[in-house]
Amino acid sequence: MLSVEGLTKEFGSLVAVDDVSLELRQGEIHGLIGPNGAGKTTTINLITGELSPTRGSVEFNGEDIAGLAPEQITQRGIGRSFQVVQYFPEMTVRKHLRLAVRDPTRTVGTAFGRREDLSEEIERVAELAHLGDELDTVAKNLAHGQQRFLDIALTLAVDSEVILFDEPAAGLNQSETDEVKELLEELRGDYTMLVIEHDIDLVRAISDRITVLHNGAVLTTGTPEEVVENTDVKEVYLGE
Amino acid sequence: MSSRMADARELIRGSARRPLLAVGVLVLLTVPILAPGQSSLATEALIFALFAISVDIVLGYAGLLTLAPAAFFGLGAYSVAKVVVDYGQSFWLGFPVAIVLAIALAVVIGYIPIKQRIGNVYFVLFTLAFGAIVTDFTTVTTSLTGGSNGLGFFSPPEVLGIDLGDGLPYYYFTLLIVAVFGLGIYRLISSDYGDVLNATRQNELRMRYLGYDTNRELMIAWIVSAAVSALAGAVYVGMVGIASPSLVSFGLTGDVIIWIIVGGTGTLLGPFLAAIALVFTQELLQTIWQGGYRLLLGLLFVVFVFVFPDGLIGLIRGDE
Repeated sequence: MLSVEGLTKEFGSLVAVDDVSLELRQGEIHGLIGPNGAGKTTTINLITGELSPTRGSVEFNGEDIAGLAPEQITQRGIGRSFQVVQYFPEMTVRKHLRLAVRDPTRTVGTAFGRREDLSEEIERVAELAHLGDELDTVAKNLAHGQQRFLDIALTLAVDSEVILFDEPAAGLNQSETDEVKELLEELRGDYTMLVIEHDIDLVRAISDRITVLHNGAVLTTGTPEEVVENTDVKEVYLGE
Repeated sequence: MSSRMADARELIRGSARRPLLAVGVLVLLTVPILAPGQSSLATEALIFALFAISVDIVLGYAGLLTLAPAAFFGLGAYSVAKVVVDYGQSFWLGFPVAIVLAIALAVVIGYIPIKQRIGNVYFVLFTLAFGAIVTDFTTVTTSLTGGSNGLGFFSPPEVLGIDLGDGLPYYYFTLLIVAVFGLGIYRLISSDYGDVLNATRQNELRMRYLGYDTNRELMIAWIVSAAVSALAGAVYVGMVGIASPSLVSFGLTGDVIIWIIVGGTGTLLGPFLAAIALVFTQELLQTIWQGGYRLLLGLLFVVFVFVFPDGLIGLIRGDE
């Protein structure tokens, strides 16, 4: 479905991502972990077009999408959330979701026609992301946890096959983290997901497979049990 | 906030909205009849109101600071004047010429800073350079533009036996243009496209990850703004009968930016009303205190930027 081959990103003499290869299988939840600076977010940025790779390929449904713009990659069916939540502070949740569920390739062309009724889809996504009661709240007035869910909701509202979550539980308290976990479990099977997360318990609980990055390179890939038992992982990541 | 302001808010937000709108339309329809001596001033005010909302699309909604509004306004004026005075062609031919030229130049000016995504500060610099080039061009190329004397004089033609050169018919012609294009812009901005621009201004990265080609959307806003500004300039030159360098000046650019800030950026109605109010204020001050208008504009600019950044409409709505 989505396979990354020999992905490399160099910033001058610094190799941020070093010959990374990984494959997302249809419908799986794939964890991506590693210490700070391991290259996790850079890898997502390379896959989703925020950065162009120095070398390597990103193949999605048979097409090499490496180097395409973020909007082109999104339109092909790869969505992402952000480590630092990204939203529109002055807009209501409803307007956020309307923008996310509507066809992004048709804007001015629809301005003088009948306004498409998207309320059903908007409400469905809002309920899914626990924002059903906040549809008319302006985003800047939401609590941090709700803003995190808004970022996730935007990602879910886009018509995607693959979703890349960049630390979806960052800054959340335990009960909110549990809600994220439940949400990801609920989405299992509907999407293929890559999840970067520092909360190892969360990653172990939800992931079918985990890839560990260290100094920009892949250390190992395997089931959660295999990864936890891996001596290299214990040494460089868990500090054992 | 005073209770009087709160009352005003309630009035405009609430049930009085439609009656207020009806009164506004009635005033626009009857002002040159009730005050026949003011029809030229009312025409000018309407044209500048259309100019202000055209610039508000790009400044208020798209969040791009342009320093070239007057260049497009003047381009419209000079296009009509050139077609009529130098080529002896129909006054009406000048309108499509103005709009096509404005679109072509907007594409040229906007392509690098918007399409190539090199940053908003470069957009400001590109429009500054374009404004400066157009200003110098109109003054220096005397054979093309009439230099500092301008290109004139001419009058609009008769339409169905009505002489548009008279103040009253031209007012209604202007009102028709402003109504059609003003409502068109309102419809455009009220649609999802307005939200697309608003969201792009607030967080372009997020919009790209919702699948929007934001540079295309910004480019469209920029082109629409330039075309309507040129149209406003074309209508204006029909009223005054001469295209002169003041129509492309940075002074006019400053005026329109201040009208928008005073009215409330990204509100359309605010810049529309502020332009009308300040054109009338300028006329009033002209007879009382020469130079007072510039001072007033400067003061308004400072006060609204630092104290009321949401403008008059923001004050009425009670924005925080």
